[in-house]
Amino acid sequence: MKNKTVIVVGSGIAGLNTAFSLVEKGYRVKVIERSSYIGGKLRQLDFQFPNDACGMCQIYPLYDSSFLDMCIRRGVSHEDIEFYTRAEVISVEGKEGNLKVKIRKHPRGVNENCTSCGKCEEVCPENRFSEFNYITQKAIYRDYVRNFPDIYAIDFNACTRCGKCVEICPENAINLEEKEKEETIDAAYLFVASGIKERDIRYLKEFGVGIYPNVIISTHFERLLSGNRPSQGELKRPSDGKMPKKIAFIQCMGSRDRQNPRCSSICCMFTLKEVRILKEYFPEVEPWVFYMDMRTFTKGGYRYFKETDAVFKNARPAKIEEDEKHNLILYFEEGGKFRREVFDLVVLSIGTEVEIPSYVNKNGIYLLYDEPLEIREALIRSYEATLNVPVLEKEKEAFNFPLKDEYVLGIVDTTGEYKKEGDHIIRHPPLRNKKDVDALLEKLKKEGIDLFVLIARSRYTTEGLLSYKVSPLAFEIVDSERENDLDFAVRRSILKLRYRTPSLKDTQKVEKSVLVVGGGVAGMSAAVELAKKGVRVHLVEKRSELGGEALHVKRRIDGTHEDTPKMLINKVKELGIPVYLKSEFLRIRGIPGEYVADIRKGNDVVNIGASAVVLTTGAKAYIPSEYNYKNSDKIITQREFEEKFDNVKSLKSVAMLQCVGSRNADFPVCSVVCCKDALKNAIYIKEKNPACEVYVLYRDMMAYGKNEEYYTEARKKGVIFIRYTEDMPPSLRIESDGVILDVHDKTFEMDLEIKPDLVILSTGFRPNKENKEMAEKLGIDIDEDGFFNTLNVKFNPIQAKNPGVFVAGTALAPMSIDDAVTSGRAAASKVLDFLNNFGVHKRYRTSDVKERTCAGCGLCVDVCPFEARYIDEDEKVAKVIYDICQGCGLCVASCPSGSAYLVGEETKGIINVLSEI
Amino acid sequence: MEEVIDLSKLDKDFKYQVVREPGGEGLLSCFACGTCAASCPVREIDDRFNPRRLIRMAILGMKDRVLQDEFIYLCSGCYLCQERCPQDVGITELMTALRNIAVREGYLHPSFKAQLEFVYEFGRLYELTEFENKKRKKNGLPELNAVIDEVKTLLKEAGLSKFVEVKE
Ligand SMILES: Cc1cc2nc3c(=O)[nH]c(=O)nc-3n(C[C@H](O)[C@H](O)[C@H](O)COP(=O)(O)OP(=O)(O)OC[C@H]3O[C@@H](n4cnc5c(N)ncnc54)[C@H](O)[C@@H]3O)c2cc1C
Ligand code: SF4
Ligand code: SF4
Ligand code: SF4
Ligand code: SF4
Repeated sequence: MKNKTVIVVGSGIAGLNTAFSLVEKGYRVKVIERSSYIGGKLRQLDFQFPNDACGMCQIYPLYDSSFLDMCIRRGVSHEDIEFYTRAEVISVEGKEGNLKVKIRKHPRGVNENCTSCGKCEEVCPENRFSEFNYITQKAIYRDYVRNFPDIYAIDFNACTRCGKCVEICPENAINLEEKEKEETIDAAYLFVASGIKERDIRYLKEFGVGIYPNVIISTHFERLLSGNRPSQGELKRPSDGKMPKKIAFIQCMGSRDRQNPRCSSICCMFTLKEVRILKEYFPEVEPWVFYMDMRTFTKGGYRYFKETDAVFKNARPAKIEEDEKHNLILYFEEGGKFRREVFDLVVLSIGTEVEIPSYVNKNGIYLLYDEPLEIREALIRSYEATLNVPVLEKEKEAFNFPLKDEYVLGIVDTTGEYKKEGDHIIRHPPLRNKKDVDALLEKLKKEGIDLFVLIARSRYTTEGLLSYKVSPLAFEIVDSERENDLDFAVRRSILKLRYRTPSLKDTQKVEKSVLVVGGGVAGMSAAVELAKKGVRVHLVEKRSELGGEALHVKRRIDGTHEDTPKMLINKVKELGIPVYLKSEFLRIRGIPGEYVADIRKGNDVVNIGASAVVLTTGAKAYIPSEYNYKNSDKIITQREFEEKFDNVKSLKSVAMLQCVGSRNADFPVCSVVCCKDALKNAIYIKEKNPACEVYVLYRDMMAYGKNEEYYTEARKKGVIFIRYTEDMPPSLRIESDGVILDVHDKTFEMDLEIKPDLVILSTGFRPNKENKEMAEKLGIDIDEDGFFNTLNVKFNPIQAKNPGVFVAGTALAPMSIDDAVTSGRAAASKVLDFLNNFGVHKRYRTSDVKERTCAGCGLCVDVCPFEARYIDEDEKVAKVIYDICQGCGLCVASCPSGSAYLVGEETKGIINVLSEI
Repeated sequence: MEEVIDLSKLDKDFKYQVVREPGGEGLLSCFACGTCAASCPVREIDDRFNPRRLIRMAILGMKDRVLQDEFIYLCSGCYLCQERCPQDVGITELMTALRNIAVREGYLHPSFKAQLEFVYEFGRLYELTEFENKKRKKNGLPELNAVIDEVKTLLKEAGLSKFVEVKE
């Protein structure tokens, strides 16, 4: 038998999400966590941007009902997930599908008997420093009031084995002699989600790191914000426990410097969050934020920044000094003036990095990500990573209507009112939850019962509960409160079951197909990944060719000319994915797992059946109305420069203007790609023609993550960056001898005049106008800026509100080609999970089609008053949307070939029931 | 700030010239964070002397102003800015590079020129008169030559004499 075990290293949000996704794909998971508790970095943070709240539980799979919904901070319970704490992987041998993973389990000293009564902590004489809480704790400790596992742990570096805790423990839970253990696990795959860690920034001596008690890092500050609130309602600084009145936040500490050249991407956003939480609970505190560039490029990030109330200073302080009261004096420069400012507390916005274990370079081992990412991106990467494993069909223990010659009928009484005795009469307590249903199914199986009548007091809840696992055709419910003659009602129902014919759909496997709307790189990536996994996909594109906006991108920032859209188009062809060009998605009908989409193709409307829909309709390039763009051929966009301009050698000077049409009152969104575009094209110009001056007029250089290296490279090549502010934008004049740009350099308070041969406007995105209408049709949400929203912008970034609808690519927010591809792949992974778990249960009484005899004439479609029928584009037969069908039977009457019928109520059956009664 | 700087009139090659000069290699790495400006003790005394601003002027190509700026001589060489600069611009060394370019291009600061002329003429920073020799004699010290010709020869060999307006 194939090995179904997968190891996930790291139990942070991305690790847990990977584990969940693997369970949904049919695997058993062992999660290996180094620390004493499950949950990773997020356990230290009570709130997350952009909702300023916790939403960890939102990562629970929606359709796999075997997950017990509960707070992830407190525990996760699933029969297919096993957790190891204080454990690490020490070696991996073998290859994909057959890895031998050696685990070392360090002693914890406390076992599962612990009830967290805390008596041991009271008697323990030894202390340890808690890197979780940044305080001194006893050697026997727990991190928080509630932990998972909810038991204590011993820090054996601090413990002297005095034995006091052992004596006092009423549960006999402590063993000071516990030994280290090793275990080898046979696993098919291994995923590394070891997450991010704070950098050691003690080299920043001028900031007093590790010297001044009131200079702390962000994580420490999050603990201060959390631990004291709301219990004492106080915020206490480390030196004297006083409430700080004025707090400085300094950005890029341990990033963007000689020691750590890259930007850590997440610290701007988390500082803003800390400021907001601070202001919410302690409005009297005055926060100052010292920054160089505010890199708020994530979905909704710019708006978040604009709505944050703090004193923002565009400066990197030079040093911090401490006075005798441990207050801190910051030295910085502003607008050409030298300044000193005193603060009660300084928070250094700490740089982070990803620890990459040595064993990742092996096949069968997958690293989720290699540079710091916010939660949203980390989750997207974890969905994407699980695409690497084949989906294993889950053994669904559904109770179906089997195709048999003889059926065994039973009667289940949950009321105690049915007095008859006999074979196959079962007494069972009322069904209150899924567990009760499982117990009942167990009994039915044991007795060999195929179909049953269930006597219950509340018909609807019972029916709802049963449909969780049982085909609606396999039972009849008798509502004891509504029947005058219970015996008669049971007999009638038995007869109904006896003459019931199984729905063909119920016995044959329903073929799953997926509709992808929008043939850009995100849509094509989703389609390709699904097709590779054997799922039938239809790809619909409004334009006359596939590729979308990415077709206009001619150069990539890494200097390559990788043609992503072309590669994807070829794959779509290779895999034979049906593509509908010049076709427009109109609407969907039906229920999750059984949608049908109306697609306009030319003058026709065709129908495509789909279990799930992936929405990748992208966003449009902004056409500027600013800066005389329309009136001069000396003023072009980055895209036009890239696509058409081939006379770089002739240029003497070029000015690039950032944030044109983005990050303003009209559109308070950062388009993310335009700064990268500027860097890419500026470097390109300098390479082709070093003598050409290139000026980049920017507000915040969005060179996050490794893009910082391109920003540095551009400067080193002589590109000149000039910072302007939103309230003083550059102005442009066209004079007889050319274009003149006036700009106020905010950093140096200098007025500059540039006379470039070419002005390049860095324009970004605008959401598609149709989004609002589209969202209504799909039953999903859009955000304030007009992009689509998902269930949770942070913790559920792909799944839309309406089950079975997923969104990816720039339809969600501005992003680059690579990110759009990743998000498309992540959507494919989410769709696979959905298909593997969503039980397709039809409505109780509907019509159906005998497809073998159906001629596809469409008469039934015409007569159906509910629009519940359509002719499938591929198969040319009639199909029913069971969720809409009311079972009126008009179609049955209209069908010339007798292919339309009412499920379970075939003419023959009804006549038999009537005559026997 | 009323002054508008016309970038087209500036020396576009100056930044590359500085980068080619030993000590000036780091100039273009500067991302204008202001750390140096808030570190500099000279700056603390007078806002006119500001390393970040000087670096900016060099990058923009304000060659004349940079090479004539008193600050390149006033830099105390304390290395505070250089140690703290996150981009490894090497500011203190850059100051040396700028002085070297200034001198080579004839932008020698008048005070240095005056000093040089004294050294050239007298072999030391001041003129030795009879009065001094008398005092020396009284204290039992040997008399000194009013003019040291070896220094003159040395300065000529080193090519520095070209800055001296010789009154021979
Ligand atoms: C000015 C500019 C410069 C850029 N520069 C770069 C760069 O240098 N590097 C980089 O990595 N990225 C760059 N990008 C971003 C890149 O273009 C996108 O990240 C990427 O193309 C997004 O892919 P997508 O599939 O999500 O959306 P899109 O490519 O926009 O694809 C969506 C597709 O869906 C179709 N569609 C829309 N509505 C419907 C409907 N109702 N029915 C059917 N079809 C529909 C659209 O016609 C389109 O073809 C740039 C973007 C812009 C605008
Ligand atoms: S610019 Fe980058 S490194 Fe600096 S604080 Fe912002 S996200 Fe972090
Ligand atoms: S130019 Fe574009 S990427 Fe850069 S800050 Fe402005 S909107 Fe964001
Ligand atoms: S400290 Fe370095 S990077 Fe910052 S302004 Fe000064 S020279 Fe430039
Ligand atoms: S080395 Fe020179 S420029 Fe730098 S801080 Fe010291 S005096 Fe100022």
